[in-house]
Amino acid sequence: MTPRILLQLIVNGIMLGGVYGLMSLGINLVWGVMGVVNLAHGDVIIAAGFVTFWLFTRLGVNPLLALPVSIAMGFTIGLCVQKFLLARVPQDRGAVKTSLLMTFGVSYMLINAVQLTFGNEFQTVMFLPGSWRVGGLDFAKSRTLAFSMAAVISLLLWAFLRFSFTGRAIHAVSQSPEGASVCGIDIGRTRILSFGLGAALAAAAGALLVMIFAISPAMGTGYTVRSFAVTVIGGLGSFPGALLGALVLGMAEVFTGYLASAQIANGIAFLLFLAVLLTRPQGLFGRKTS
Amino acid sequence: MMATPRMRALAAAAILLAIAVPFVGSDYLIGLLFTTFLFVGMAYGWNLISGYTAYVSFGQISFFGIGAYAVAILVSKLSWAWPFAVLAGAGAAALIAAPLGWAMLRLRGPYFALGMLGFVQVLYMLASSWSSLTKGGEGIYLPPAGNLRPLYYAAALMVAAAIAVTWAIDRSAFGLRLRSIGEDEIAAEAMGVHTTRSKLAAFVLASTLPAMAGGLYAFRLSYVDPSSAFPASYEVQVILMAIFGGAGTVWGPLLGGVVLSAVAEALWARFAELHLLLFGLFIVVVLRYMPEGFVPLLRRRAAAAAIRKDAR
Amino acid sequence: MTSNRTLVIAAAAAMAQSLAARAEPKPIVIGASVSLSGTYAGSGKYSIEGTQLWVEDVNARGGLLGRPVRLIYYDDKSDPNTGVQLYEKLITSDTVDLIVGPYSSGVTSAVSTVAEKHHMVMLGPEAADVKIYTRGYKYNFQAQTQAGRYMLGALTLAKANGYKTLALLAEDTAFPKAVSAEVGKMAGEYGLKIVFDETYPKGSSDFSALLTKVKQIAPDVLFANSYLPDSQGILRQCHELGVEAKMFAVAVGAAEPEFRNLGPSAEYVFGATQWAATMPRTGNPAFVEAYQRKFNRAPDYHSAANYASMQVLEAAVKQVGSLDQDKLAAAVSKLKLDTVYGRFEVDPRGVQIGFTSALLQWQKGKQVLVWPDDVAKGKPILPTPPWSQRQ
Repeated sequence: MTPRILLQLIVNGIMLGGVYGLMSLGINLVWGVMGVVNLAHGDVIIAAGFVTFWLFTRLGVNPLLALPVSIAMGFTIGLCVQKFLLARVPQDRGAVKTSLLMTFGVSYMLINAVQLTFGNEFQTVMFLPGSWRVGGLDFAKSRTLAFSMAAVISLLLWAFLRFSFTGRAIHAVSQSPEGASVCGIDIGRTRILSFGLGAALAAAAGALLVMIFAISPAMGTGYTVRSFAVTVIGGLGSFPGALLGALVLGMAEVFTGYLASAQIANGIAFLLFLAVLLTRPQGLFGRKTS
Repeated sequence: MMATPRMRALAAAAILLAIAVPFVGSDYLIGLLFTTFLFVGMAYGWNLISGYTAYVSFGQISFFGIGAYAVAILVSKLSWAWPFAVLAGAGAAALIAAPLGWAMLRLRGPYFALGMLGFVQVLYMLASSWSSLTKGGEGIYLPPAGNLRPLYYAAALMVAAAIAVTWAIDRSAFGLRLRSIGEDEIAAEAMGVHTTRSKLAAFVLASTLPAMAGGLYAFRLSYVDPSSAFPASYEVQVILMAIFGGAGTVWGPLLGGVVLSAVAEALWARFAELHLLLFGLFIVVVLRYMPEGFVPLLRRRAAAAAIRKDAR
Repeated sequence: MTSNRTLVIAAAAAMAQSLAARAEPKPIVIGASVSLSGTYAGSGKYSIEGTQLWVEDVNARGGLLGRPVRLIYYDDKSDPNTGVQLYEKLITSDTVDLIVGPYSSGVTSAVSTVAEKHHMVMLGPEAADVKIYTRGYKYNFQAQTQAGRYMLGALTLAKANGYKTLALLAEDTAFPKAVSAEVGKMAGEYGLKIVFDETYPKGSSDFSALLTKVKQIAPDVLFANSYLPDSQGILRQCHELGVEAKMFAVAVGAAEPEFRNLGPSAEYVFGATQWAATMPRTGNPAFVEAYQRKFNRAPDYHSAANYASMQVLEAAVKQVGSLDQDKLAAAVSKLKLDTVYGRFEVDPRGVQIGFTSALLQWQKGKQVLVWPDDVAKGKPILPTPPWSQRQ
């Protein structure tokens, strides 16, 4: 492996990691704030990808302009799921089990709705073919764009959580619901917003993903597990952790694909995920949760 | 369960019918019932681990795949007879489930669910890359299963065994321990229940059913590749059958399995995506409005009717 | 009395209905599954259209054995498992009279066992893998050019231009692996050395890791032996990663008009095709015209292959005079027929030895046939200019 190949692989890994990071921020938010695992996450990613594809191919809409549409769609889905389904689950011992099963059901509904509406084929958005040659390395234009957008959105999210009232309310609820409610924060509404935001982030990731390569409805579950893998590796509840975890996964996939085989690269996310869950469940930066 | 003479007669009739079908029914009907039995068996498997304890597993099809590949490899490469291969598949699943369960069951709720989801992906990856064993994406071809009837009876036997075992567990101390884990694991531990041992036993036992279903399925299909060994749509159907029928009950999986198999059969060929969408919707609806499932609902109505009868 | 009258009316109605039924001949039902969704869907839809055109055509000519023909088909989602279940359903539940094979070697291979088990003749119009037909099956016949013949044109051109090294990429399923295997066996004859030969799992979208390896090896020629979405993905990522080669060729996909969606990455790419509208084949012009009229677009070679399979089936049924599957099997195995796809002929195992292949290249956004000489419409442009020098 020459230095140039090594650098090229690193570049590829970072660019992939950027999009994975966006995917996992949504998980981090929802899981951290509400302790709910959304099994439909990957399917929101795919749904947004297909919407972007459709807008691009049928109506000629620039995928970057279509991004807000996907985000709005994701937000609406998340909002509805939380408000009409998860919020109504009786908060007894069976709550965790029931929410898991519910989001599982939603996952199936979403994916089959996508198949019914857009078909079951592999689709992609061929926007900006080719790459930029910088310093002897190839930066694929579509991937660079996706990475940049992912970085911008992550930054906006960070600013939102840090500086806006709602953002800080979300943070407060994740730390202590009782404390937050004592301070006058509407827990129910905050939860709805968080779930919506989480899904919106997933949708953004999907809209960017479809520009990089082809996606199909069947890939939903794979991305759900990948998103959780990144969150688990980086550590639940930690923003920098999520980004680092994404980087780790992106690199792992690229290097495994190069050094071993494509088949193994496909499964490396899940192997890492299991390994971390079993040895250091709080991940790299996470706080220890019960 | 209300064992009225009428119920007993119905049950006897159903059993006689099940035995008679291969002699009087069409190939199509036998095939349909065969598939139904496989799903019912898998529903019982899910019920054992996720119905009684609160460990929701989304990875039962990992054992289905193990069973399928076990049969494919043993029959095609080593010329085993299929009944032994199917049992060997169940054994393999149990052997894998033991250490897997020991590792996974230490994780609580959502982590366990995700872990099992991830395990399926790992197995899929293994099946795709370990070409010397599984022939990768190309798949393994089995000799055509000539007569469906022996397979049918094997499946029926599997269901009977599943019901018997669940029935025995349900009224035993073991079943009580599992239920206590499902209600409140920490309290159960405090009361001296060996939660790890009980959970593990249930997990290992539960793994054998999808494995046998997978083995029988593989032999019937005469072809196994990674996507047929780990069919994602089966997971949703099995879970729905168990919770619709009633998780944590003895007859729930049977009821759910039979009813939903009939529905699926009417829909799957023509409305492939719609039927899965409806199943997903159904899960959500059931959880929202009748989370305990049908069997407990029936039981309560029967009990209420009995009280009304007594009061007269 | 009312009940008596009702009885008489009912009896009359029943008699009328049975008389009508006897006058109206029972249709012959043909069953098939096809990839209308999933990885192979892009090509799958062309396949079923070829079959549908034949059904319309034969009914216009008075049907088969004096009976109208009806087609039932389902979507097998490009999945062998679903295909098997669907053919079981077609044969045992829908009780079709005739069946025809699905799209792709992978699905055909799995489904062939069902056909064999039920003793039903099955032509495989989309199964190029020879292995399917070397299992001693008596009811399965290959109706598509053998996998080994797909890349003959590309190999010939590579040799003619003095290229020395060849990289092979294939999906991890029956047909792509068969193509790679056959190319591997023949490469030496064409002066080529295989410097890279790897597979990727079905359903992959990201080939960058694999292609980074290829880039390092810098082969003269790259073959992507797979299906449409992969062919597109691979070429796109070759462009993005700057993977250069003097010649890019794909086994499937370049013949589809959809390949154009790649934009500049599609230019100069060679693709195997077994058929083209301009080729001198029996009944070809009429077929192309009828297809264009019915579906409002041009047929591709999959449509022609399916149409040709139905032509073969029709000829066999007419020859035998009935739908007896054993007699049909015997007839097909000896049949030599000039179809729109070329000359149909199978060897004693059922392997197709009549159909051949050709090669096209994308030049200035159009498909141009470049090999063999008797069907070529233009000259191949070689070597391929480097990515960086294109717009």
